Amino acid sequence: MHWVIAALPILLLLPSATIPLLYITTKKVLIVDTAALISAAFSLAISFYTISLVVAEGPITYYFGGFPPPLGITYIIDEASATLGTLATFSLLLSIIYGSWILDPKWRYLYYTATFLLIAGCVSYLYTADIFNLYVSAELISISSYVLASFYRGKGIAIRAASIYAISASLVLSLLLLSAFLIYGSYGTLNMADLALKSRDPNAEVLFSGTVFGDIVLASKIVLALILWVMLFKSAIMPNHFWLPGVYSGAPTPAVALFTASADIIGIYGIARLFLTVFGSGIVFEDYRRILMTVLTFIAAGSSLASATLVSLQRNVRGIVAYSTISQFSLALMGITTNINEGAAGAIFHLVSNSLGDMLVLYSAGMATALCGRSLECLSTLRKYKVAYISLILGFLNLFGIIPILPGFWSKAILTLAFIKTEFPAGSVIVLASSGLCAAGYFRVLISSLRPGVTKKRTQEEISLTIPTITLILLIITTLALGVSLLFFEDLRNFLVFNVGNSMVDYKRYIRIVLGV
Amino acid sequence: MLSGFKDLLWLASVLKDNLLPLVFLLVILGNVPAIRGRSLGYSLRVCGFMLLLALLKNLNIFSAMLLSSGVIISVSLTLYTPRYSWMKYSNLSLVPLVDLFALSILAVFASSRLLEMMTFWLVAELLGFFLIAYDYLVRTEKAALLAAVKYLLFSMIPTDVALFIILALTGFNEAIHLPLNEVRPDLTSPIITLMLLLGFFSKAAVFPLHFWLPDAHSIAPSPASALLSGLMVKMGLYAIYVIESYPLDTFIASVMMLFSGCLTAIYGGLQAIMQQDIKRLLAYSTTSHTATIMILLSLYIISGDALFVDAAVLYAVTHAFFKSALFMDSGFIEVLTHERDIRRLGYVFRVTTIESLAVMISVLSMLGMPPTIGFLAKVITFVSISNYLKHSWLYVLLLLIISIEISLSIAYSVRYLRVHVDSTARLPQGSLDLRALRMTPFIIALSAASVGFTFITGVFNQITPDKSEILLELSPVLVTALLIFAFLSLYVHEVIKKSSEGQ
Repeated sequence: MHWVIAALPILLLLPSATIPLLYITTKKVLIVDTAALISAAFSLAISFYTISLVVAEGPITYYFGGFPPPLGITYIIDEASATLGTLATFSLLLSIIYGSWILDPKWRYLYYTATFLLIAGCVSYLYTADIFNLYVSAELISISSYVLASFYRGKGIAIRAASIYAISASLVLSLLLLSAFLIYGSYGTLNMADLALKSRDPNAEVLFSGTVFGDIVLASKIVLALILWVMLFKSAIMPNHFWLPGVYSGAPTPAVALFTASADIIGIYGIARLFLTVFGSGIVFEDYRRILMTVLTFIAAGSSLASATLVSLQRNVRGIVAYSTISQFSLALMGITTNINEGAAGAIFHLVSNSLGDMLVLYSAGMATALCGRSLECLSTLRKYKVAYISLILGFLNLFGIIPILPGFWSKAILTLAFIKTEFPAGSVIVLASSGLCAAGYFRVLISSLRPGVTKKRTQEEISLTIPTITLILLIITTLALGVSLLFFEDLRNFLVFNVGNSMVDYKRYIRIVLGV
Repeated sequence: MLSGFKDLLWLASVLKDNLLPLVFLLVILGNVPAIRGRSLGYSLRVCGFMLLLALLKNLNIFSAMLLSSGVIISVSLTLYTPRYSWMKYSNLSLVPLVDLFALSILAVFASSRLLEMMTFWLVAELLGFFLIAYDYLVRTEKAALLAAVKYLLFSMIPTDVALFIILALTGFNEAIHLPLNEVRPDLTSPIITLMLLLGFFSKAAVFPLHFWLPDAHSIAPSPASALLSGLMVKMGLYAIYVIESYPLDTFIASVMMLFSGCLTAIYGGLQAIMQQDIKRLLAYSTTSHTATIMILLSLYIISGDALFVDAAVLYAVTHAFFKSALFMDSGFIEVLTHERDIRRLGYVFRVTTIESLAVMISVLSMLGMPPTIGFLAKVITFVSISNYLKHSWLYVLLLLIISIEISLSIAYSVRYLRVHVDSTARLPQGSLDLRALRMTPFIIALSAASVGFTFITGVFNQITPDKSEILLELSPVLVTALLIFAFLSLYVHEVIKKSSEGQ
């Protein structure tokens, strides 16, 4: 059955091709909606199957075309990539359900196409063990994000934001391609496990790729610096964040919610994978990597605090979500720089909990936007719709992350654990200080939603709220279930802290699983 | 028949194991909008709070005394708040917030495991934030939001850092499964000790993280101030007491606590004297008192003598009683006169003599007069320090500082009393809201509790093995004092009444 898992990216590409065809031939929106929904649900089911398999039997590998690594492209699905993969497909399902409510039926098929492409790229990015494939997936993700960001093509702000994003991201991504060339030129291989082996033992000889044949130290130093920049840009760590607030304010709500769970987490995941597993501890140019990590800690800390400060200055929910996301990603990055299991686990899980919180906030605020408008005052409309209101509160509490029945608490607790273990207690201060600064913004929103509201422009009769309510119920259940099971099930906590973190940090296991040596 | 009885027993045991959820349920049920202002709602809430007393058995002396005094304060507040809320905001929406806030603070003291304590702690902090920002919520007062954000950044976050660090050092599984006194997080690293102390200082409003308190406590609605000042600052002290039983860098801890404690005790007292706003006066006096308790806790670290803990907890309970009563009184004055400036008040005794007398009792408790609980606190404080006077000059210095703190407290309590009794002040014409008088019974009850509690502190000696015999020796004195006190109160009441009738 492993081929089903490896085929997940392909399965996701399929609907993105068939949905436009379906719409053009039938012109029936209902058919398109159903097709998209079924495909998304199917991919989520595969993700769940994958993660259960990984938990039961350990990481899964798949060799494309049966070519052994490093000859062909290899997929490796371990605890961390399976977790994030499930997050991506879950957010895809929600985004499609919600999109079928909020988007214009005429253009909906385009939206579906782009989202499926995005998640196909994202899953492939998470699973792959090949640098070139990583680059291709990143391009796929980026191109579909440009489409989604400029979905409202009548809006100047959306087009402007999407153009800035597209131009700068393509420039930055070309550096990833350059890095792939440099790596191939010096190591003679693009397979990540092979690279992990040879960056630690340059004399190692692997079937098909042989030994290294260039100056790997110089090349790796350049490559690491370049890749670091690419990844920081993709995850919008300050000062590379300039594209994100615009994109978040111009794109449709379900697209923004999708971004926080897929397109924007790949930078953090990339840094974790490349700087902890592939070029992790024990490499021959360890000193250089240490310097990079130290610089990265400072960048992340500064970025987190600065963007958290900006959160409270925002005038609408999108702005708050944008800067709070930057701040949370920076915290996850700080977790990675600790170099230990707990740090990596905290970072990965922080991405998950942040996405859940963002989705709760965005989807409930999206309802207020549809009913009344984008200003903060309009949020008080939600008080009539209990589910949406509870989601908004839960979402902000989860982002603030101080109640143990919500995942946000646990991700922050694991991050703190990592900082304490590496004797860097200042890290935990930064985690909580930026949460506090963000919370000032969150609570201002909550308070304005509690105020006596403005009169609605539209009434409920004109606009059915069943679909977004279903989306929100699904999200609430997932978030609470995750938080509560973390509180009650020791196994789940252990899986998170040890296995997920270990899958990032334990490079020996990675090499063994992929190369079989 | 027999099976029915068994079922009943089973139900009782289930209830016993799940007391906290039951309490929360009762309080929430009592807050259902339809019955919130009716006697059914009141009784449900009061029952809920009283049930918490069943948890006393498993607690240490610190949390047991804070919990029992907290229950008394919460009961009076749950009866007081509806009237305050109705008169100030014309609705009852303050009531559930205040009740849940009180309940989560009490749950912190009642918690037996670290994660449980942390959960309630964080919930209490969150509710505290919304209570401080309450005036922004209903009346768009920017100052309330600013005070709340200040509280968030300088009280919540430092404490959360401390709690998360303790959680990380304890380990998740231990924090969930083991009782508080069985976990052993290693806090010996100087930097960790420093961060934890700073975190809990920020909750107890001790220098250098004290500055959020005067704004927050004076801007919050009065029932919330009563809880913030009366009970919530004690959470910081309780946490310090808890971490004192874990391995930590005792040198840094004691030096920091002594230094900050002494500084804040004097500074808070001086500031309180200068204030013209009744609530700000009370707020500054809180920092001064918590700092004194902090000094006593630091002496416990230095000497290891449990008498200092007794002194600290008695002091904390005293403070909880009189500060809640005084904040409730300030709310009453605010609603009655629409005025908070000391210089323009002074005629309250002409409106309600009994209430003024009750406030006097609370002030006497602050000053440490028998038979109030304040007397016990002062006696044990001085006895415990005097025992060590010959050991080091440090104790002499501390005795001096506490004496200065007490003399400052005399100065500002006299100022506070002038709000009530100033024979030169005349009743203003027609601006008094006499409906406020319905709030007075609960202030009187709480003031009376600070006398009554003196006589039941003996109960806690049975709970804790390290009982102090001083309490027993004092009982004849206390009973005599009670009689004299009752007589004097009647006399003073007559005098004030006559003078107010003279107007």
